[in-house]
Amino acid sequence: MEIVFFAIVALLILALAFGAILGFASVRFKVEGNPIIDQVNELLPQTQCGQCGFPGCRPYAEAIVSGESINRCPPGGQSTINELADLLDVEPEPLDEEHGAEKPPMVAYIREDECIGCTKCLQACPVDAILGAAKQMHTVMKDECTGCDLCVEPCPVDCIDMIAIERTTRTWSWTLPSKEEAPGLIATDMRGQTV
Amino acid sequence: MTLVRQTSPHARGPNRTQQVMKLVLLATVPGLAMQTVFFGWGTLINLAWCVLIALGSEALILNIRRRPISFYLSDGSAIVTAVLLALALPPLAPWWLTLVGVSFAIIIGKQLYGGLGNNPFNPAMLGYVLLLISFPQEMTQWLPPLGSETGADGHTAVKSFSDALFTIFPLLGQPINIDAISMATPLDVVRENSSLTMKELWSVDPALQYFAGRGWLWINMAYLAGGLFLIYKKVFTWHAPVGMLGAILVMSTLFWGGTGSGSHGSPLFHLFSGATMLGAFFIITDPVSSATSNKGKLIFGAGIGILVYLIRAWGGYPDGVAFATLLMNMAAPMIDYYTQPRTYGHKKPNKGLPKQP
Amino acid sequence: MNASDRMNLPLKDITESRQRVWPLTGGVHPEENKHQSTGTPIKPAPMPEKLILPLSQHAGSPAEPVVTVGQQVLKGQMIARATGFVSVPVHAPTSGSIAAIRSEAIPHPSGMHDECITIIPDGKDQWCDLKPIRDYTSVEPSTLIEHIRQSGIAGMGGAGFPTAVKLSPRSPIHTLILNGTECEPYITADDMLMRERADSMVAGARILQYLLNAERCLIGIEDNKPEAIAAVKKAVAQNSHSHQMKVVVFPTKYPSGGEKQLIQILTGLEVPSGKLPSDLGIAVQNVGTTVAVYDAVQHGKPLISRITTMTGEALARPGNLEVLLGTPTQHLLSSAGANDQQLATLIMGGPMMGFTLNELDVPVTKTTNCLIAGTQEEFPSAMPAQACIRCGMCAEVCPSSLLPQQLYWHAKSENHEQLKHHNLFDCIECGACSFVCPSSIPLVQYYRASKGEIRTQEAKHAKAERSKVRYENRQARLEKEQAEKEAKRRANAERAAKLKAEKESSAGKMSSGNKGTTIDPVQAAIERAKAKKAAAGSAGNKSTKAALSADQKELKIQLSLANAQLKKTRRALSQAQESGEGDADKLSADVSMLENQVAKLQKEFETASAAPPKTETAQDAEAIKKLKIESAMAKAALKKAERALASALEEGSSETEALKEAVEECRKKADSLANALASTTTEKPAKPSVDEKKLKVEQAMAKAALKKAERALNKAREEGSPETSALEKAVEESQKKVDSLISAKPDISSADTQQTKQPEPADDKKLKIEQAIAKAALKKAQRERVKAQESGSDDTASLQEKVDECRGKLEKLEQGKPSVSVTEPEATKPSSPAKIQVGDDLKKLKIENAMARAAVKKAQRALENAEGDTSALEAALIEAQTKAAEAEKALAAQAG
Repeated sequence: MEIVFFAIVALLILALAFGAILGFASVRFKVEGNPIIDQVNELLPQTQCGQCGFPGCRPYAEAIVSGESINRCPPGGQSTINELADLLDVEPEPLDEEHGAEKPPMVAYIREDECIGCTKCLQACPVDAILGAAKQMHTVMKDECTGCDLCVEPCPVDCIDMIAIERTTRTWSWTLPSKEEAPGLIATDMRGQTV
Repeated sequence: MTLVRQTSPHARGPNRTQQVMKLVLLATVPGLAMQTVFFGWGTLINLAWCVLIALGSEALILNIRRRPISFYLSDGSAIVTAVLLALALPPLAPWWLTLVGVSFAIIIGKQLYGGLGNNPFNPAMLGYVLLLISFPQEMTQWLPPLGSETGADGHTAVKSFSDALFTIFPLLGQPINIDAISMATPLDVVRENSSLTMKELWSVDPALQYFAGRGWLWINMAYLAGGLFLIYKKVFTWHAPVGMLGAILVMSTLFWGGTGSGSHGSPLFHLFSGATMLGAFFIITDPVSSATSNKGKLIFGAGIGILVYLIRAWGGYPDGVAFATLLMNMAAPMIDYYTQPRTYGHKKPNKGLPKQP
Repeated sequence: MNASDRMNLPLKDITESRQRVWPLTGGVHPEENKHQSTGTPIKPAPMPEKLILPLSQHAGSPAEPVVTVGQQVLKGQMIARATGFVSVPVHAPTSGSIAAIRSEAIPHPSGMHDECITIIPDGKDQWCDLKPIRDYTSVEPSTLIEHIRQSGIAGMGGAGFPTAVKLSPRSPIHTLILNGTECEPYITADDMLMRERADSMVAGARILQYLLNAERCLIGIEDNKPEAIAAVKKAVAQNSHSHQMKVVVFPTKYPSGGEKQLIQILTGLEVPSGKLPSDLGIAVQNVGTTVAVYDAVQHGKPLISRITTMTGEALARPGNLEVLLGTPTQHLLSSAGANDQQLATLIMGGPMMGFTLNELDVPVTKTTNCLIAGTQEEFPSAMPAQACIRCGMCAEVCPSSLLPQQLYWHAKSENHEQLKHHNLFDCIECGACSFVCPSSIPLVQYYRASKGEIRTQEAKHAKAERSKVRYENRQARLEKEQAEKEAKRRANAERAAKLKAEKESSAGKMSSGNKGTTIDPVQAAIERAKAKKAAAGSAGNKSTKAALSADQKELKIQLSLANAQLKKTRRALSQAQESGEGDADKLSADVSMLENQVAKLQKEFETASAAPPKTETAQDAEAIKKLKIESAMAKAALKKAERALASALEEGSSETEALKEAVEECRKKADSLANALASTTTEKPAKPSVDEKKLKVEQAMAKAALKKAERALNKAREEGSPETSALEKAVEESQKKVDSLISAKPDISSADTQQTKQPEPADDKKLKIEQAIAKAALKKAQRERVKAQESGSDDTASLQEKVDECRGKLEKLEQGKPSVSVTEPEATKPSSPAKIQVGDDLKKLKIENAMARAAVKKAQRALENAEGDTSALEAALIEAQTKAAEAEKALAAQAG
């Protein structure tokens, strides 16, 4: 009889202790919202181009968190995929070419002679980077343009070009020495790196 | 005219990896000589055999990995690994034992991790530990050092080249019966002792002489000299050896236990017996698998020193340099994280891992 | 003792015989190789044939040219001005003419080109007027700083940071340090400068001390320059302010000359990471810069030349030259006797931090302190990197106490977080680690690449962050607009409901009143009719009995309808009351409402008839507007239906038939509405442009429909759908429609031209837009055809037809155009508004011209792409070309 009593008391005490710990933990380590979506969104390039098949970067971030593959963002390219893989602790995959190829950073340019001021591109721009009004020539704010391509299609007179941002002496930097020189890991050894 | 285009600096210092390896090899010569004097030709034969296996297995793996063989062989790192393992093996270790140990050290311990510079563990010690665990009997068959021979066989084994050769390679000729002549190392003697006082023990056992073991004292002195030479040559800094020797000194002083039968041996005994000096100057100073910063090296060495003493005093093996080294190799990355030096212009050194954004 | 504590220590008396020096952390001793170039005194370099002056010789934003090609300039004249705070101007190093302003090779590790001004010297070397400031103590420091800035002085030690910026520190300066260290091997420019111009240097130091109000000046020189030390010490002793200056000699070790390292050696202080020396109250200036400041202030000379060390084993006559900025290196090399066979490496700067040049024709800039023409033996090409064995030699020599080996591993794995954690950005890229590395690993390159990559990534993230904010703001704005619209709609609905409720309540009262007074409803109606007649009569009198205007009519109709309704309801009400069944209350409420309405309509009618001329147009416009809105809505519906159809076709849905019908219906509706609209508007000859607009809109719609249909057709074809024939028919139909609309157009526009002169520009614009759209359609059609050809489709013929059609359309439109623009100048007199119009016209023509050119380009591109049927494309190209030529001609005529 005594044994049963002690067992129950012991269990009660344990239950109380663990309950207290859990309660404390839930208060102390409370998580607001779903921060992982924000973190994923943070890594995406925010071009809002929709090439991934989702209407913007945040929807894609939400989709990634709920299991969508991480290789559908051409503007971010491989570096974004790697960062996402790092964050989500999954294997980085190569970019899914179905959604577009990785391009150098681009910026939209309106050939102003040809612009008829239809404001269609203004409405298409997800980041309000095009200035202009009806019947007025439009122009792109270079610094704000994300190079998303969305303004090209709506233009009725085809006067928008996507121009690659050129490298100047001010943006130039050295590149890493070629990796073949250094012995890599076993896994990469057989990839045609015969010396 | 095409001009060379490359990044600065365009001037190059005189340091070369080969040069470093050569210096290390050179510094082992006094110790090697002493070991040969006290334990006979076996050490030299072992050494040659080790180097052969090391180069062979390295070349094999490089070939499989499609790497330029001569370029990587010429860095001398395989030879250093082989020499260090040879110096740690018993002088008359059979040929297959050496083959297993060295090829494991080179293939598994080094090349499978990506070759020189990528191995987390000291390859020589990895090979040594494999042998010690797998073949404990063969690995503890040390010959009686010169001057403490117990029989005629022992005498010839130390002095005769052919006896040593045939014992190592029994296929070539008639080996001597090593079981009959092998004797315990001084560390083992002190460890196993439970009845005699230290004084009695020293007077009874032929393996003990002065304050350390017979022969072992001189061997350790020679390694000390070689190590000081390397420090002078700036091949490595004083931090790791001082850390290890200091820790052994402190530990053995603290747990000395007097001169009675329960003693673990004097501090000097621990400093100059077994593989202490070889370990302190040649094993734990392997830069690849040790900590990087000076402070880190000091901690790394101290950790090894403590572990060595713990294993010697209370562990299951007479010496613990190999185990201690491997254990601290595992801890090296963490030591690195917490021992970054203070950078110019910073108030405090950075510690730990970078904060996740 | 931390940095701030040390800073608060009282400054030691500078006259103290031995100044303490602190040891440098790390460091290396590379072979000095300085004696080769110290044998001869500084000589002026011979005048080159041309001078190439990069606009960006300094850190910061590049200068902006203020000269034009062909202009004559004098020596010392400013040829490019500073474009910001961190920027300096560029001056002509000699007199001559500006030969070019274009992109040329510049000294940069990337080997890239940048904007340069090229001057051909005239040999006279004629100075412009110089404005020296002889007594600088009488001038405000800010004026002096501006003078230094306008003299184009930037740090001459290597980084080229504008000196004026450095002289405008954020916090007070107590110590000025002159950097005469020159720790890099080979370079002796500062050494020779100190030997020969120590007096100027000390005088320059005085100016800087005055400017900065610095209490002391330390001149740091390494002990391998005994001659320079002696010369400077002598100059200091002769200066009247010698008690504030001190020459400090310290042991030679690379990289003592780094700004941060020199501060550490001379003061024991460390510049906090991410901060500037001025935050410690210290300013560091290169000795060459100090002399340049002296020349600028005392002689008014801008920075147009510098001392450059010419050295290296490939030179026969190494030495130090006073070189005009912009002198090509080729010229300097040949004047120093370079052996072209031996020259293998050309380094600008020192061997530790300089960079190699891969062209010989790059100019000397403000930061070029040395040119090393090295042989193969002197600078052997880099050995293949061996594995890093973490030997730690790099960490031993790092002057910043970094862990280069760890940085290397993290750089290799591109682990940017770890790199930042290991303080990569405190690396000064001195190269000591690479120098000692036994494995010949190009460590500095790893760090530079990683720094660049991290900066790029950070910029990318910053931009992403900004884009996100902009996107979110836009979303918020759109949502707000939506919400506002919704709120408005709701408010309207509420108001209507309220009004209704009010009416109901008042009706209730009225009906009860009716009951009380028992007025015969018929009687009331008669009375009302009488009143109405009277009102109409009076209105008719006022408007001189003119026919009732359209809105009056409409109002009247509404009024009578409402009356009829009212009567009906009253009847129903009386019946209900009599029989005692049905909802009498409701009916009575209805009656009162209708009564109200009638009264309101009556009032409206009266006011409308009271002021008929005014309201007429307004009402008219309103009606048109209504019609327009309706027609637009119908069109939108049509579009929607079409879209649905297209998607249905794409998906191969079975509902296509129904959808097609719907589309047809919608189209019909839209057409009828458009017709109605046209008829309404054509009634008004005063507003022909509206009519035209309508037509155009319709046309555009039709074209859009055509496009859609074509696209659908293409898809269908690609997918091999059986509906292609039907779709083709649809395409044809819409095509026809477009054609008819277009043919309708010129009549109107020609009529317009006859009728009015005013609306021409608008008309023109319309035409142009239409043209542009047509062109786009043509382009699209062409593209489709090219695609079809590429894919080997057999539809090319039909597509070609389409292209031709489009082109025909375009031509038609264009034919319409010249007549308009040609009539213009004749019709209008050369008054000022006409001129504006002409200008407008000119612009239009220009646009047209550009478009024609674009068409030519497109055609050419298409031709290039096409392989098979090139003849048609060639013809198209020729056509486009002639069109372009015509447009150009027209433009020329107009402009002339």
